Amino acid sequence: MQRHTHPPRDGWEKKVEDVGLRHHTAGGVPYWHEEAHYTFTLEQVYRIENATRELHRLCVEAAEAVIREKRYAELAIPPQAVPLIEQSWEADAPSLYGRFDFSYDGAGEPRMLEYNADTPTSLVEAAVAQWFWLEERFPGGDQFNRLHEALVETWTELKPHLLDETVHFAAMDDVEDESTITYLRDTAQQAGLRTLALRVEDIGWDAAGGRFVDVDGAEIRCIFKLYPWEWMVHEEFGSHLARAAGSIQWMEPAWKMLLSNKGILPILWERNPGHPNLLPAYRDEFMFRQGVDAYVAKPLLSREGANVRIVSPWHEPAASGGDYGEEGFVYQEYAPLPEFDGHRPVIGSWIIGQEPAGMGIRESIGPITDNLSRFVPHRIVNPLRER
Amino acid sequence: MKKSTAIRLTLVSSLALGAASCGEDRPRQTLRGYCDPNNPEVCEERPRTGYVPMYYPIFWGGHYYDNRGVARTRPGGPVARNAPAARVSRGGFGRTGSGRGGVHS
Repeated sequence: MQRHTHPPRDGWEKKVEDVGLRHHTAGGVPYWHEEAHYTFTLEQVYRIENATRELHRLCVEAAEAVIREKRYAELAIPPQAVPLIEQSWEADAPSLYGRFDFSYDGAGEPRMLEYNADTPTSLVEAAVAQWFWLEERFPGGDQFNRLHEALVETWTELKPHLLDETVHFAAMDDVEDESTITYLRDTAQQAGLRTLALRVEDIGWDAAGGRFVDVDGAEIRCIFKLYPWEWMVHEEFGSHLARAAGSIQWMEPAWKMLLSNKGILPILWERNPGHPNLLPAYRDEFMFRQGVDAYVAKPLLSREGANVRIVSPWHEPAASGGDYGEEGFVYQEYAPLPEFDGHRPVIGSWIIGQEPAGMGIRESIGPITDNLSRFVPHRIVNPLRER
Repeated sequence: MKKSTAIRLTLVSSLALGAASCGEDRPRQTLRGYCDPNNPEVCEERPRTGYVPMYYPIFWGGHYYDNRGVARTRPGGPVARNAPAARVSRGGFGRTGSGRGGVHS
C-alpha cells in the first residue's frame, strides 16, 4: 500500500461532474482529490475483501442475537423502533448496501472501525468517478471496484421480491445525497425498475388509508430512503411507521439500524473475542486501563466522526465537535490510521447485496476522519489477469 | 477485480448533460406538462418536449420538478385539482436532517 502524488487531469472537475460527482468541491477545497492515489497489491485487496465478507457475516449474526435476546437498550433503540426492526428482520426485507470503515496499513489485518449499514454515502466517487479516473490515467489498470455491476445485479435479484416495480428514492435537499440517489436510481433502472425521486420532507401520510404516499398521492410501496432510521423513528411520522409496516418496503430495512449503531461494536467483540478484524470494544470506559491503554470514545449514533474522543497515553488528546452523544458512548481500542506523508487514509469497503464489491479511500490530516476528509482514488498494481 | 470495464450511465448522464448545457442544474426536458409558477392554476396537459427554461419549475399532476429533477409538492400548499392530497399531511420526516445538510456518512 503506497501513496503516489501527481498532477490532476486537465479539466477534472468537468470530467467527474459528467459521471455524476457534483459534490467534488466543498467550501472551495476539492473533496475529490486526484492529485494523489493509493496502490495496493492484489494480496492486500483480497485481505480487505475477505475481511469485509467475514465482518458482514458477523454483523448479521450479531443483529440476529440482538433481536433474539432483545438487547435493544444497549443500543438506545427506542421502544417504537423495536416492532419495525423485528418485522423487517422476519420479513427478510430487501437490503441493498453498506460500507465498512477499516483502519489498514497494508500489513496485517484490516480492523473494523464501524459499519455504515443504513445510509452510507461516497458511493458515486467509489463506484464511478474513480473507475473513469483509472481508465483515463492507467488504461488497462485494475481496481477493487465492481460496485456498479454489483448494484445492477442486486437490484435484478431484488426485483421479484419488491412490492412494486416502481421504487421511490428519497433524500434531503443536499447535493451529495441527491447525487447518491440519482446514481442508485440509474442502477435500479438498468435492472428494469421504474424510479421516482422525491425529498424526504415531501413523503406524505394518508391518514385515512394508513399509507405513505408520494407527491402525486400515489401509495409508496417500495422506497429507498437516504435518511437514517434513528432520525425517522423520532420524527412526527415515526408513529405511523408501525401502522404501515407490511405494506411498504423501506431500504435499507429497519433492522440495519442495529448495525449502523456503534453499540454493535461491543456486542461483536463479546461474541467474537480476539477476532483479527475486530477491535476490543466495551460499553464501559473502565474496561480500558486508564493511563495505559489507548482507546476511542464513540457516540452510539454519531456521523462524520462527530463527538469522537481519542484517549491515549502516547498522543495528544484529540476530540471532534458536534451535537451527538446524548444516547451514550461505546469505547473501542484505538487503531491509529496509517500515515502517508501526513495523510491518513481510511478504507471504505462496500457490501452490495451480501457480497464485498469494492472500496473507496478517504484521507484526512488529523487522526479523526471527519467532514473535511477527501476522497482519493486507488488502483491495484500487478493484478493477475482474469481467466 | 473488475468483471466488466463498461459502466453505462443513463439517468446520471442525462442530468449531467442538462446541467452542463445551460451552465446550471436543469430538469430533464421530456415532461408531460408544466405550469407557469406565476399563474399555477393554468397548467398545460399536453406532452412537452424540448427545451424547458431553467427559471420555470415544471408542474405536472400536482407536483413539479425542481431544478435538480426531483419531484416536489407545489410550494404554497396543496394543489386544488388534486383533491385527495387534502387528506395527506407532509413534512413528518426530514426535521432532524434539515439543519445538517445531508446524511454524510
